[in-house]
Amino acid sequence: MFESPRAATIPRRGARPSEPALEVGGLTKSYGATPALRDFSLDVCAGEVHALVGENGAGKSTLVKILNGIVAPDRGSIAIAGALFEPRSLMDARRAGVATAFQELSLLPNLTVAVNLALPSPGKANEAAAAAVLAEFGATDIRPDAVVRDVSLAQRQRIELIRAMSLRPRLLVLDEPTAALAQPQWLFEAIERIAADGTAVLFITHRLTEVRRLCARATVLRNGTKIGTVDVARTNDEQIFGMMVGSAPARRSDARGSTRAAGARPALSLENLSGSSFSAVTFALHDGEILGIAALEGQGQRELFRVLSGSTPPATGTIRVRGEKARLPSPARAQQSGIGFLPEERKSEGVFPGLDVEANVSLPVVGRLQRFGLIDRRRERRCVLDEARHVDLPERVLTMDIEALSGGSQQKALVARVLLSGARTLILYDPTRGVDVGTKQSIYGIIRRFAAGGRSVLIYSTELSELVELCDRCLVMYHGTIVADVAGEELAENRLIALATGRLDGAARSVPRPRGLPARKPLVRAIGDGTLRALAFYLVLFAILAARDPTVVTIPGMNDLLDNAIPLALAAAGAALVVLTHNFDLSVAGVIALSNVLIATALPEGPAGAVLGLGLALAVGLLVGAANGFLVAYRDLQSVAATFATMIVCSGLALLVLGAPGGTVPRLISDGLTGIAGGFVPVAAIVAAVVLVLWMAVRRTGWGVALYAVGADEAAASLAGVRTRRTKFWAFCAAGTLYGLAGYMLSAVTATGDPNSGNTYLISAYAAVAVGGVSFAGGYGGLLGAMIGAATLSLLQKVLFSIGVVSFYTGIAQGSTIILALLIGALCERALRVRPA
Amino acid sequence: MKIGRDDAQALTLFAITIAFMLVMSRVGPGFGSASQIEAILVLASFVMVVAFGQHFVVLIGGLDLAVGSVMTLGGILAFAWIGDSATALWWGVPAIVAITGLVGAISGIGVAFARIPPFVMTLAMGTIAASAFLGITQGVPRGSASPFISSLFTGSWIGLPPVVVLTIALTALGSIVQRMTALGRRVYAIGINPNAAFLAGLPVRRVTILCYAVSGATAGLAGILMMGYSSGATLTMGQSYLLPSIAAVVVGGTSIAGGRGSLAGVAAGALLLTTFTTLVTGLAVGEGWRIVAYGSVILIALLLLRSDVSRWFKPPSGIQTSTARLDAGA
Repeated sequence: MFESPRAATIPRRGARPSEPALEVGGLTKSYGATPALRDFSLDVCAGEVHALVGENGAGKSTLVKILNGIVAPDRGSIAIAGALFEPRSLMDARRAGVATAFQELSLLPNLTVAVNLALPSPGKANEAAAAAVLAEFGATDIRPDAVVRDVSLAQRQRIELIRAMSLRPRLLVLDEPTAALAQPQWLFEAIERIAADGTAVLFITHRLTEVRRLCARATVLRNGTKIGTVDVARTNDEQIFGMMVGSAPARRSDARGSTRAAGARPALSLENLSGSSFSAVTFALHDGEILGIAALEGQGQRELFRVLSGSTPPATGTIRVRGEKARLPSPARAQQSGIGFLPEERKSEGVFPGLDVEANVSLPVVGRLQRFGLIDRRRERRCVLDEARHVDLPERVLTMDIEALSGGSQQKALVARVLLSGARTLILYDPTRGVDVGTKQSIYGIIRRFAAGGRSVLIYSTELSELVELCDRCLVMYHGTIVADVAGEELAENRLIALATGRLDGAARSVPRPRGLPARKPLVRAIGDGTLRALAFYLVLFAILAARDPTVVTIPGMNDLLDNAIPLALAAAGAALVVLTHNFDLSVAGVIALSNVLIATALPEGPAGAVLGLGLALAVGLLVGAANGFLVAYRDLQSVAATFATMIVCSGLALLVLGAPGGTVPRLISDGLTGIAGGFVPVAAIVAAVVLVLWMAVRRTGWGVALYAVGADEAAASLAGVRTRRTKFWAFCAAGTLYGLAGYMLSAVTATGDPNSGNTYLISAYAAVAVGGVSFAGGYGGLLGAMIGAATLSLLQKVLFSIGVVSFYTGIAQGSTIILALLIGALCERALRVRPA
Repeated sequence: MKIGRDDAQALTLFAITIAFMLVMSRVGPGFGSASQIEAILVLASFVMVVAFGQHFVVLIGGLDLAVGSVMTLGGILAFAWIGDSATALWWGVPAIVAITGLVGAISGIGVAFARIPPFVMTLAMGTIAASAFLGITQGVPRGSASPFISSLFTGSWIGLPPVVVLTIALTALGSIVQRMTALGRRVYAIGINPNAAFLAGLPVRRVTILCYAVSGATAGLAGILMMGYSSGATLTMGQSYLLPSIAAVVVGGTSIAGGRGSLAGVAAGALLLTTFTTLVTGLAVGEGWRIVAYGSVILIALLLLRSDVSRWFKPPSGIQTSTARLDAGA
């Protein structure tokens, strides 16, 4: 009776006569051939909490993306408070008064809570202000100076919500906001308060209890189409479910579990298995059984499934396959043990675009399909076709690029892959995410037939109804432990949700928290800090050198050390800037060579020459940096490849300027900058100035914070409103300028030009970055560390020389140092990593 | 697999190369002559042998910056060990290829197990290798040239210098491995989506190490050949081949991000670049221009490939680089 949108739109009952805050009309968006949203319309009034409900893949996320300017609609119009709204970026949306708490959370793990709350204008980040905001929303348990990766998932979700609410938007979009919240009461009260102030709230969920608690009206979305808007008070759950799935919720058939062989050894059993986000998980999965895991987002189930798939090692505990103790060090080994894993993210963890469906399916077993060392294509086709029939995939798609298929068909192909690998136990993590209703039904069919054949299935789903429909038995996970084991009559959706939120008897038991957040001891923290590590290394080397040659402890001795170190220190600081954004810049070698030969050939003597030289070096660096930044940030080229090419071009240009070593550097640069004039050490002053400027730029500006944000998680940074492209562009520009300065200082030190002078700087700069503890994964470390790392390397060279290592072998020392530094850094990271619960 | 597209690309490149040669023959006497084409083929063989291994590494999304030093290492060892002895030839060549392959494998281990970025790891290994041969030779390579290896450049098999025939055979063998064996499938799959490859149970680490080992081995082989060609070894003999090896791979249509491209395309790229270099050398412009041209060619190829890739793999609108996570939940 609610099938027609028109009939289902019921006039608001008792709503305040208020302005419409959001009006959406005729909104349509397709991804390729797949429509995500069709002719969608919606209106939300100021002060209203409007529910948007639908299953996974119904089009809710697409609407969120359109409202935030992340995706442009194909057709349709949106108005905010009566004004036409066509956002081109997240910041456009912000300015128009739209704030969103994203389901995938837009927090940066490497930044503090206060900075995260202030994004995207973190220049204003202030812990006192952050504490006030947190207090206002009743989140006094969250410390503003805590780093986000150290706080729990539930706390992170609250931070995400508080940030959106604290913007006092006209329209607040909450995308599945209760996913990780154990006590949603807090959120409900906050929402009611903010709605009372006149904010329109679009509350996206698929939990009807929450809808009933908060909303007067709910709009139902299914397969990209609006099914209708209902008056919540006058509609029962059955009816809304019916609108969401297109039929009344399926009943469980009772003829299940009959094939289960009692007393036989379980197909898979876990004994006291623990990881970093779950602990003491014990259960057995029997042949013929479909066992469900029900849990809210972030209760440890993700890691549990990863462990069972062989992709993450467990901390402690035992896994047995058919009674035999099994080690699952890799997915390949898990496969050999008969475990087949279907990961959650189809796009990033499943498909291989560019390969046809057949190759996608046969990949894990293709080694077994060879004859005389070559793949037997006919046999491959036979095998794949066999499984394709099992999963209702038509033969004609087998030769198509998998990318050309709809999400549902891609998922079927992935299921076929797991089946073909000969699995006896399926580990399925949310197997129906983002697929259409038809595919869902056929995946259910596959799962049932698989279990009916005497094999076993472990399944997690975000849709509790799915688990109720499919499973013989269901385990409920809460805070990393199994709190309930339900079967038979008890296996019902409301029972599961109660257990999963820890509200029934499960919560009455005191739940042991999984390995939480050990307070880090100061010493451990210091070892984990790359800068301090580099400093310690430096001091040790310095002590060795001082013992052999006491003159280094004098002012001229130290001046020499500085002179030797400064070009590399500048180059390393530039490289580190780029590395922080999770990119690489190879152009360092080319820029140094180019500015060096220019200074050695083009300058007059005297102060004018010195100043001109500085300007020239900086300009060359900035120009090359801008080119790199443009190619990487705005043309999406891989940074290694693009900067490799610009490095080559610069080296060539350097050769054109000066064909062979020679030329002269103005004396004011070569002698004036490197010597000591009346107790004044110019190099020390330059170092101090550069460090100060960089420290201000990186630690005291919004750009500096954005660097760390982009490096740690570019997607989250862009959701938080950080201008990721611009940030990267300026990082390359600044880096190039530093290389130019490095070339200038190199000219001062060597007093001559050499077109090959940059060559050694490529490896040394990255060695310095590694020694200085800047993470090549981006987002962690500091420029000072890289500069100290550079000083350390140049000192190492001196020490090696002083203890008599032949200069031929310094390359071995250098290469080994870089590898060792990276290994030590990686080990420290691993030892210190704290995974929040 | 999109074999058709890659093949079309390789054919186009070959056609461009031939057109280029025809144009060259008009430029002046000596250009485009049979002897010059033979010389180009020989020089292109060196590039191709180094690019062969580089291609395997780039296909899995890596980069091998050690090939220059490793090639020199191969040449110096061949100069020292093989000489004019025929028996030394039989153990020497496999031993040298194995040693350089091992150097590559170590790079692969660093990349696969310690997750060190490929260019950093290979740069470090290249530095270590260079330092090692510098120390071993004390700066002066000693030995004698192998007449047999030199004869690969002077003789004639089916009308071509033997080294050219051997290179074509190597390329054909490599193409078969890449396209018709399980190993080849795995290489492409890892390049396309390393994460999915790992979860699908592919031996990602083993294949990664193997690819770097192949790169080391072919760089060493190129060094042996180079020693025969120039009847000697120098400390810088491999240095100038790093750049062409990467350029040939990229110009040949292989995506630097991995997972796409064919050896036939690389061969076409090597030939085109060598022809181009010969032309530039013939025009007597400086070394600097040649290098600038190489850098620009790589950049242009990257930009062209990129636009192609974006057409095939990207959603039509939105923030393209940063919404992968969002798209997954669409």
